[in-house]
Amino acid sequence: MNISGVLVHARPEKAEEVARRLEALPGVEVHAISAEGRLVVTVEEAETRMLADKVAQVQDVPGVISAAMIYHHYEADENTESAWDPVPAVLRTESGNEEASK
Amino acid sequence: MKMNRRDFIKTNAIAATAAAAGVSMPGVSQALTREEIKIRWDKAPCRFCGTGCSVLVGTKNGRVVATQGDPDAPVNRGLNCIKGYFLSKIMYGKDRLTQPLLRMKNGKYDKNGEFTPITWDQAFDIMAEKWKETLKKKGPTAVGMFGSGQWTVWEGYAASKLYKAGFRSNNIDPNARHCMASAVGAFIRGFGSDEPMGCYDDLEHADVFVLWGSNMAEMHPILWSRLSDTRLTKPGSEVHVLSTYRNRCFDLADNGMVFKPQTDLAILNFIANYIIRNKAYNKDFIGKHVNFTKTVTDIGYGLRPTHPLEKKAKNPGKGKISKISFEEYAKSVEPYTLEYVSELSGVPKAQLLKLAKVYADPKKKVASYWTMGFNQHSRGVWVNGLLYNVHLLMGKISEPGNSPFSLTGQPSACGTAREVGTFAHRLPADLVVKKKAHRDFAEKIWKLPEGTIPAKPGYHAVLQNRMLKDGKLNAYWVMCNNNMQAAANMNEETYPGYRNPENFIVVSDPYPTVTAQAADLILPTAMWTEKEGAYGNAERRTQFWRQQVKAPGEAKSDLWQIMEFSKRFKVEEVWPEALIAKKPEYRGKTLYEILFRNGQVDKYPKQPVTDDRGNVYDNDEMEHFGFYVQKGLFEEYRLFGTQGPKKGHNLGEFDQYHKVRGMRWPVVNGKETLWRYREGYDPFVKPGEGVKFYGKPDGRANIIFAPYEPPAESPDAEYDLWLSTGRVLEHWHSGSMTRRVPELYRAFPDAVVFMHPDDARARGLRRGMMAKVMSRRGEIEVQVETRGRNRPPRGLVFIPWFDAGRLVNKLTLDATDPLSKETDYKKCAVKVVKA
Repeated sequence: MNISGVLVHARPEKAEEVARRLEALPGVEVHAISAEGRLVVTVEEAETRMLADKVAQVQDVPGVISAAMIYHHYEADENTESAWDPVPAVLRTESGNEEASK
Repeated sequence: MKMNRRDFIKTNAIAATAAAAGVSMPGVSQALTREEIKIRWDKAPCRFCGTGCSVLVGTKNGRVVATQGDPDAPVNRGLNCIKGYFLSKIMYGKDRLTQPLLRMKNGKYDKNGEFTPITWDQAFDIMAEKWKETLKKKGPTAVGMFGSGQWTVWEGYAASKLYKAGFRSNNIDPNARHCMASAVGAFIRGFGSDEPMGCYDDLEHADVFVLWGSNMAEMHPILWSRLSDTRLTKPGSEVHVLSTYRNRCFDLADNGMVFKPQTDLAILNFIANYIIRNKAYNKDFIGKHVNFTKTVTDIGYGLRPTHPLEKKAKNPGKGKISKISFEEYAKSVEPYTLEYVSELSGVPKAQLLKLAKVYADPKKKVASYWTMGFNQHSRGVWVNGLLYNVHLLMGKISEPGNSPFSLTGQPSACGTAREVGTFAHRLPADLVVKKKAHRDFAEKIWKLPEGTIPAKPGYHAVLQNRMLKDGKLNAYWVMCNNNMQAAANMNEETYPGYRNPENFIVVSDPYPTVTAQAADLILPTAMWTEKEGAYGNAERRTQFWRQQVKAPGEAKSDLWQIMEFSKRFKVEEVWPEALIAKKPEYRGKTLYEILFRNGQVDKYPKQPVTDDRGNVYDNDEMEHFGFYVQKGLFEEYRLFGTQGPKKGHNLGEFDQYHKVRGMRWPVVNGKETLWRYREGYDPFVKPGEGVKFYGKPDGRANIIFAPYEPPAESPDAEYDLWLSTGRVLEHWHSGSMTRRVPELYRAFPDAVVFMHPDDARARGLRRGMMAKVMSRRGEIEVQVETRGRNRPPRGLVFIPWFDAGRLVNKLTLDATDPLSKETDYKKCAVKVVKA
């Protein structure tokens, strides 16, 4: 479960229209619109990996001038700290240096 | 009201966002207390760009589990960009390096061997052997280091001291050479002192914003959100945007201008000409505070001296400026008429006029921002200077809202690279190795015999790669950067240099970057909050953080690596006898003892690091060396600002920085400075002086005339398109951190070539198809993008450089600004064909 608060700026005269476009995106809600064109938005996404995509979608909505993220909550995955490989794959000959020497 | 966990979290998100937006939402308040979820929160500056946002770092069970925008930070006021949002994940990539790795064959070092885990002891053994062998054979000019604008202040300081004082080599340069050198050159030429006069508060004070070669919406999103807020709330405010392609900033622009590459030089001279023709200039200001000068022209392109363009240039590399009269200056800009410049730049006349008028209107406060469009420019110092000319003519400088402001790309390009002076020609606090008085002062602070620091500047970034290839630089340490990916002309210079059999290349990094892959020895490195640190952002704000967690495995901080390595050298192995004889008490000592156990650096004993909430933090370097290393280094470094020959570089006391959200230097009596050179704001300007550019002996800034000169390489019949490189919002620099955050990777996985749909069609290409992009130096394959955030005009393509799988620097040319030695990554010629 991932929920992010996003502060969106839009031109004041277009704020309502931008809000409607944002709400059309699944998982996106607009909670308040100020007279100056500031929108209080939340973005919800079940899968963490998708959250940035969704915020990128917010940024791409016509009329959005800036979108800054405020609050982040994600359920920390305690298991990502797997045993590190002493020699990561890209440093082994079979794959290493290919990129650099191409 | 009963809330489930989801509602709980959502309410918090709404409350925090509403607070940042200044919107009151009755009934919604932050419900979750921090204690409830047992996370320890502490402040730290973000690891990425030069904005210097502060984040709150949440640590639980020895692991950073969350970050959030710091609501108490004056820079970002609780906001985060998408990179900052996922900051907590950068330390936990799956391929963190945890052990030193040496290329070995049959149990021994071999340049063509396999990377094999070894101990730190073994790593320093082979390194010391190679360094000593090189010093003995060729002397100090054959050892070198490539450092970073991401180094903490004390890491840069320790590295600079080890090289300039210890090894007596000025061959240390930071990757900030690639991003800020042109800005520095112009600050020194114009004002005699590095870094901006204004600060971020100008984002609220200005009436008009002009972006010159800065895609702030993507590269400095938090500053962009402050700018947007002013534009949307202040009646009469305007935004002007200049770029060589349409980008996201154009969405807010009242005057968006796409100009032909390099013609910014002409546009700026047109504005100066307009101001003079209309007698709009501030007569009083220029009479009191300005000198008129001109610079030597036809200066080449900083290529190898054998290159035809260098042979053709009349004054290659020359930067001499000479005084002229106001009338001569006026005459110099006269050819830059509206008609000529509109024709040359491709910008319609009405738009140029609209731009010139806001600068020329004495009632409008103008803030100009620029980043790599100006700096990565074969006339970067000139073009920076031409913008200062415009601000100086109008006296629109050094006061709230009137602000020519150079933005930085790295978190401590200012704080470390520039202020500490980790460049081949610099010393701390704006001192330079060329001046005897400056060397004398540094030697006094560092308790060294006279003549320790060499007078000749060392190899700068681009020259280092050339000298590696030529076999003149042989023992080389790359730390806290990814220069194989970052440096221009990788195929012809960087790669052959690293793999030259005569050279031993050491790379310190948390991850196996493209640079690490080309190394002989890789050192695993602790990063960001795995150590105590300090960064300095673009507005002169120095910010500290405490160590939050331990580094994985055997990874050690850059500071630990530098200081440990210094233990491997006895002074007799690196200094000539004549020098040691001037300081006989140093006989038999190690560089570690001379540089770091000098009674200053080791002055502060081991002590617990705490905050005002009773939390206790680790400090692995203090634990290891037995004294408060960071504090000792900082307090010694601070002497350069408080006692040095250059005025106005004062920093505050170490302990104070741990308590505040940063302070902007000069810091005098614990008080920061918002606007430099202006009475009432800057403590170094005396009552009655009004404005004083005290970096210059006569207190006057230089207006420096420079003409339009063409770029090093332009499109022709075969290579028929301009290539510009740059960044995207989701990734920071070479992507070595952001590409390891799954969310950011997914959001922008691979580099694409942004191009005009008609240019694509003319080559049989459509959006989504694979294209081959070729220059005279190399080729790469990328997917075609004709829509989205960047819309180049016909004749230009844009490729971001973050992608290790599509190395755009195989295409770029290592042409540099001959004065700043900074590469022009924005202009070379390519062709695009179907892959």
